[in-house]
Amino acid sequence: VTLTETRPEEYPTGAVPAMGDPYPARQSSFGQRWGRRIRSEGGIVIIVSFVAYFIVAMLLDFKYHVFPLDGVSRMANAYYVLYSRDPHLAAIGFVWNPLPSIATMPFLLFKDLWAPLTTLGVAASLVTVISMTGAVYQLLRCLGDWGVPRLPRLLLTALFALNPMIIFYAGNGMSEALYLFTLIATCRYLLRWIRDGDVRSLSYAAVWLGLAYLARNEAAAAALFAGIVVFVISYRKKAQPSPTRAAFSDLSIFALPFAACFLGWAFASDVITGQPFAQFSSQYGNSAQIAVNGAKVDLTYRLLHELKSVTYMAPALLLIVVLVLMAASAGQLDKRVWGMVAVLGGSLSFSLITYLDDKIFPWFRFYILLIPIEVLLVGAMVAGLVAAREKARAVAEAEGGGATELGASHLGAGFLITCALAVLVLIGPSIPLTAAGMFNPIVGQEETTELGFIFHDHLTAQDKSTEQDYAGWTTIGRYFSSRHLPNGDVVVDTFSGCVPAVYTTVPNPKIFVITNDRDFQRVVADPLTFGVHYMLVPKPTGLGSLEALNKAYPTLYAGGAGFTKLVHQFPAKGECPPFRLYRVFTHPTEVG
Amino acid sequence: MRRVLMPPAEASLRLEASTNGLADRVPGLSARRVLSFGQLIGIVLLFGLFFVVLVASPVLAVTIFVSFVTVLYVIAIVYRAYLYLRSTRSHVVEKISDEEARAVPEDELPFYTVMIPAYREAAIIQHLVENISRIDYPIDRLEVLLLVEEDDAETMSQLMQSDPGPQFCVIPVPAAEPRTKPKALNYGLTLARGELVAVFDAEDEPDPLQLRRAAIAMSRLTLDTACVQAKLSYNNTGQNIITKWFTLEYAMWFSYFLPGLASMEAPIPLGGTSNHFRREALRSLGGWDPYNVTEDADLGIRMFREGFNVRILESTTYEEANSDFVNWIKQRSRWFKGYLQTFFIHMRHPLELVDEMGWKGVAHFTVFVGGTPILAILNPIFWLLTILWFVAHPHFLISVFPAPIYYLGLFAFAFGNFLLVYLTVLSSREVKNGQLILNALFIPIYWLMMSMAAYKGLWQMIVTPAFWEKTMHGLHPNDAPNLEQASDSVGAGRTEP
Repeated sequence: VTLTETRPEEYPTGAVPAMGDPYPARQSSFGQRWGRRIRSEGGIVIIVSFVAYFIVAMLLDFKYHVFPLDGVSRMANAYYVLYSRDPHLAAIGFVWNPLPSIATMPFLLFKDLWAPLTTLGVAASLVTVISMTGAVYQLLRCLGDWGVPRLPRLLLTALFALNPMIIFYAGNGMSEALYLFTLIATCRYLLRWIRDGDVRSLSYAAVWLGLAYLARNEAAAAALFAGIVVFVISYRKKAQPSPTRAAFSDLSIFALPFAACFLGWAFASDVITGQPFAQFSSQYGNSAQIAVNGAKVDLTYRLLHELKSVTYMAPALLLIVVLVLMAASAGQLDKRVWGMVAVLGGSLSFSLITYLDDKIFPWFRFYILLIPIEVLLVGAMVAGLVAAREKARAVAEAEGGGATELGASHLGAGFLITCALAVLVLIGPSIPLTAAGMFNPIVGQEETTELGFIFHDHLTAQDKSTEQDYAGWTTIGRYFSSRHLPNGDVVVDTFSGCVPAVYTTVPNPKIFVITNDRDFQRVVADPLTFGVHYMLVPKPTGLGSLEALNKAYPTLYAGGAGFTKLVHQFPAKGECPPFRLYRVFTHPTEVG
Repeated sequence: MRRVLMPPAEASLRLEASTNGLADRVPGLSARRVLSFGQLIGIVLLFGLFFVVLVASPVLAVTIFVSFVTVLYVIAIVYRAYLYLRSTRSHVVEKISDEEARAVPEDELPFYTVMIPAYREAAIIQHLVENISRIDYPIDRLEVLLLVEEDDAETMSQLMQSDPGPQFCVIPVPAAEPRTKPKALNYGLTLARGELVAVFDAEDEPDPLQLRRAAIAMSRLTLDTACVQAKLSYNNTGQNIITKWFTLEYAMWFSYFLPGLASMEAPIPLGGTSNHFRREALRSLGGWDPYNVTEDADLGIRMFREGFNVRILESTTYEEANSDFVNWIKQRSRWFKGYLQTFFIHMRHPLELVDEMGWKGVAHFTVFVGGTPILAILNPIFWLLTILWFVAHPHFLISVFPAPIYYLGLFAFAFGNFLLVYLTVLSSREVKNGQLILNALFIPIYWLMMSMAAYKGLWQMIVTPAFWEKTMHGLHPNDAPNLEQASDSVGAGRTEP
């Protein structure tokens, strides 16, 4: 049984195709090429993952109505660009990085053909299905480039793809899948560059990293660490005439796309909002959210919390790290592993450190990078073993003088099964433990909330509330759908709770004046002048106090601020806080 | 040096064949006339229609124009990104190692003709002879034809004074219009005896093993490969910023775009030098078009139409990059004019072209040969619009960019500019140990120069379609010890007919 594939880089030099064959790589027909691609290992992995994740996404959307609000918001941002009463690109907003929103746009164009794309958030889910499929594929190729034989390679890929966190984030419309996809692709090409030194590989890694930054901020940390690795590796090659110049040149090529994305996004943000880094500093950004909602816990608690999360996500991590360090000190480890550690570990370190510094929430999903990290670390060790074995074999053959068939497997079935068992022992436990973490209300705060009602035998109060999420915003949505209001009649801040979900549910979203409309501030200051007759405002507690209407009129929710009168109240339901709808009868200035 | 003499009657027969051979045999493919009557009518109608719409509804007219151009930009950008991705397929580049090249016994090598047109190149004759003498090829299987205009007394006398090996031979080309390099090459081709024919420029420094490599590559390739094109680079890169950018541009072309085109089996505009042909294929095509000012690009397209292939040879010829701004603009305007000429000539009968090239071939040809000069002409307009947008945010701009076009335009602006600067930065790795990386970041200034040249080329195409902007060589101090002489020839270049 041949379990290894021949890898092009292992052809002996000089083994060119036979003379007399004028077209060694004559192209075959389009159909033949695609037929081969689909039947290849990668093609099968793509199809299987896609179908599986698609089923998960459809179940979450249609059966359980699970829509994490961050995911809905990102889709809604794209929706504002295309379908708000003031469609313009800047409506995409600058609190979240744009790629997850941009990626939903092609699907949103078909909303009139299939309403659930927006009303049930299917557009966002499709983006995560495709992205996670891409992540699985990139991981597989990364292991293949490394030289991991097929059996352990497929096993490692499966352990990644079947992890419950991966499955959930492959269907729920959040940005994690896209981030994993872009970051693992970055890894794959960076590792390839470390191996072949080809500037093209480096440029592909660089472009993927730029895209990763457009998906999530943590990519900036990955860029920092990976940049250092690129510089050091390039410098140590001792290129002539100047290693320093070669290193700077490689670093520039690696950094340029990231820098372009980083500066381009900051520039756009600065031009439109006046803040280059709105994702951190805006009225709605992370810092503001933490200031309002962050639980006050001390450093020791935060440290322990991180350890706990790491253990749930990758229980054998410590053992794996020890083994990797042993292999490295024995010279059995490919140096490419440091490229992977820099990209994925660099990004993870950002979340770890900022939580220790109390700047972000300790969401379990921030630790999702541990899954590819442990898979790739174990993959690196398997690759190291294979390389050592092949080397020993080659030496033995050189001494024995026996010739071997090119590309034939040198690895016994016993060796491969041992590798597979080691993989299972080291990574297998992640699957049940991650699932346990997701349903631990302290570790998996979000996941417990979002999925508890599906899996719990006895529903908690929280579970029951989540079940109400969808009902919450469809109630508000139905109210406005039935009122037949003219365009631009209701002002509302899309920041609060479930407003983006309401917005993407109603058939006539243009009735709302929203935060991203260019006249929003002026409308809030004096609605009547702009023909706006209603103000929809959430209860000013918790994050609700950051909301624009509450900031402008602190007494609006409680008593109408003197220029409006109460029309309707929406009770709290699921993620929706209590909302009140006020009718404006005069100008706020006339009230004084 | 030997000199070929022949009776005037024979010379004029050969001259006639070189000048009008192609045009008489296949008038449809000759640039003797650029626009066919039908094309002229078509263009007049198109402009007329646009003018009518412009008068009736200026916003609609501008919107149509802007939309069309934006789509063109997006296609050109995506196409270039794709070429870069495809360029990794190395099977299109013929690589023959030094050992392999030297190992072939002399008596197995084919007879080779090297043709070098030398018009007003007196200053660098010594240099030329030295460089070509360095070629490692048995001299009894090699002829080097130096094609000199009969009335170019200075070059002629310089050549006659030098005394290189027996393989060298001067061919006086009878003085007659059009005085173009392709006409001289055709004249040489009527006399060439080699099974393979190579073309070099007077200032070239070819890799000494290039002929051997090309001969070996050709022996391995089937007869439908009519040409292998060696890579070009510059030996005076460090001279000034123009030569640095020029070097980067060539690196991008030969490292990324050309291999990308070849891997897709697209028609390839050849470079003007260091291409190696099978003589019989070249003759069957009717040689070069003496009226086309980028006869090299045109020949590549005609080869493709006739079903011939072009491969790339891993071997570099060093040339002198144009270092003088005015001279550079002249050269580039000729290239743009030639691309436009070539585009219009082959588009005379679009359906016939589709029959011969297939839809894919025509698409490649349109984007690369037609698109390059047209975009260079349009660039300044859109740069101005972009600046206007950022500075003044005028309302009329919003009204002429429908939302989808606006987003495409934004993509072209952000991604397109980034991509081309980044590709230039990457190209800097292919030459000179990556020294040029900082220069690569300023390549947009070079694009501005290109656009200036494109306007000059467009103007010339309308006014004097067959006028050849001679590129002066020997402007590099190391090449031309006598600077005065060199600058004299620049002056001479300006007064050409």
